[in-house]
Amino acid sequence: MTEFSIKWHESEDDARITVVVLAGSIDMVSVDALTKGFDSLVESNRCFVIVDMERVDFVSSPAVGALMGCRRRLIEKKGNLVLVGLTPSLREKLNLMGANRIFRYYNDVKTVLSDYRWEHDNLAQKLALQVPSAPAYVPAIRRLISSVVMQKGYNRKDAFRIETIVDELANNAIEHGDHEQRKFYIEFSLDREKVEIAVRNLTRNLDPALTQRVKQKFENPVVDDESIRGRGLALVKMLSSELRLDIDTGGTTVHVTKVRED
Amino acid sequence: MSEKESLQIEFPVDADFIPAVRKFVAESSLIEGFTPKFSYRTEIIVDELCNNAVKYGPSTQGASIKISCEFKDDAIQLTVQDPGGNAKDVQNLRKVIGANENNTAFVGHGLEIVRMLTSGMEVSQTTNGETVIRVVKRRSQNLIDTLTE
Amino acid sequence: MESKQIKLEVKEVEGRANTRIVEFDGDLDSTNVESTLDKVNSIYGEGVANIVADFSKLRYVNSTGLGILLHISKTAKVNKWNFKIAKVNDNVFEIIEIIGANTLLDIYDDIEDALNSLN
Repeated sequence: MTEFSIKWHESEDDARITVVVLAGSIDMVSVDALTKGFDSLVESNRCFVIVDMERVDFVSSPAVGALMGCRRRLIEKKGNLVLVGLTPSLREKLNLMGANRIFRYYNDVKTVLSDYRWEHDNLAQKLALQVPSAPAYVPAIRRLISSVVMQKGYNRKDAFRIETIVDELANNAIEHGDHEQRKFYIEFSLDREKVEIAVRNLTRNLDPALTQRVKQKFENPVVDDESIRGRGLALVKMLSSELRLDIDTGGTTVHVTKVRED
Repeated sequence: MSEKESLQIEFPVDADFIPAVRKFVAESSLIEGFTPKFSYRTEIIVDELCNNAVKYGPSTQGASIKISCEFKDDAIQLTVQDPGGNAKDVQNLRKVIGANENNTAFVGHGLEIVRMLTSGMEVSQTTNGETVIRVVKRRSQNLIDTLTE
Repeated sequence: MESKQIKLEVKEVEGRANTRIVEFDGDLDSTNVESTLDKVNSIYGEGVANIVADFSKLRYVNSTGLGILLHISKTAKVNKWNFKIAKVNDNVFEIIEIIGANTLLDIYDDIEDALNSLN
């Protein structure tokens, strides 16, 4: 059995977060040291705490109760306490004491930071793809993006709308790219409130007149019998809060912003 | 096809992205003409490599993992690059890869599974300190394949 | 964030009060091993002694998922419970074989076979 130890430090990656590394046996005696530590944290308003339990062998049930109490105090000050690094057996013991109903468990500190920034900083996360310019890839791309947004908490309806936008833009990029285009690019950024999609293809030597016409089509997508794509663009425009086209010497980038609807 | 197709994905050091990314690569392998069985094993490989990259990658904001996938006629080459890692990590990784095949204590060692599913695995470090794992999976190279295909 | 990749459905078995069939639907991977473990533990915790895991809808499992299955199996043995697995698809079975877990897990072709072995 490892000797009990407790170490406190500010997270190297985010000064707002405190990491407490516990080791050994956590019983009522050691919990005393823990509670005193929390007292000073609360006093100095450092209310986000990650408790690293990777080297913990044993936790007594009064100790779990004390940890729950610490968490409650932090929650009252709009903070939180999460547990990281629990082995399966320790998890099972804690769950028997109802800990899983109170604490959020994480596998690693990194994911805690990620979630924290997502919630508190409205952190945007980016996904970038470079894909062969082939229609067969489009369903796979939209499934990728749909999965990601749902994993991040967007509901099915929003995910479907986003999928529709991606499908349309991707098909467009493939269809209207240069003949020698072998790849096209998608950059996808999401945060708690919105997603931003940028799809870029290769279009060189577009004459000014054509450039104008293309820009026009984006500004005012027209639905006519000959243009399946017109219908699609009109749909994208309806689904998004912003639709923008950038044409430079290398290619064309379509930017779409879509705000989360619920 | 003489010229190989390739794709690249860059995603945050965040496990939430992994299921979607591994399925995308698996689906892409089907598009490029590999069998469903091959595609499933590719999914496992990508999953294990990404989980490894997320686990040992940095927590700095904005850090990302890059996967590139090159499709050749009879093989796929997967490269996973993460900005984390120092010489010691690379050394440890190499140990896992070079581990004895009779080592049955590798449950949870996803990289062992990758090693068994692929015909070559290489770990290196770029000049800016990124860890790179590269694997090649041929259409029909592991034992299970030769028994059943 | 909670994983949406797997669904576990628990079914009772006629004539066997302390046995349950647990249907695994989806992918068992690093994003959901813990919730799966919690669910299985809570079933045993209710006084169930035997679980037959129906893997017919389990499309995919990675090394972390296998690790959890082995852990569940080991815990069951220690407590003199049963954890049996039935209807594993070819792809999942090959991965189990590759890491050598097929000898460590209690695997049957059919649910009936698994249930019969409980006697």
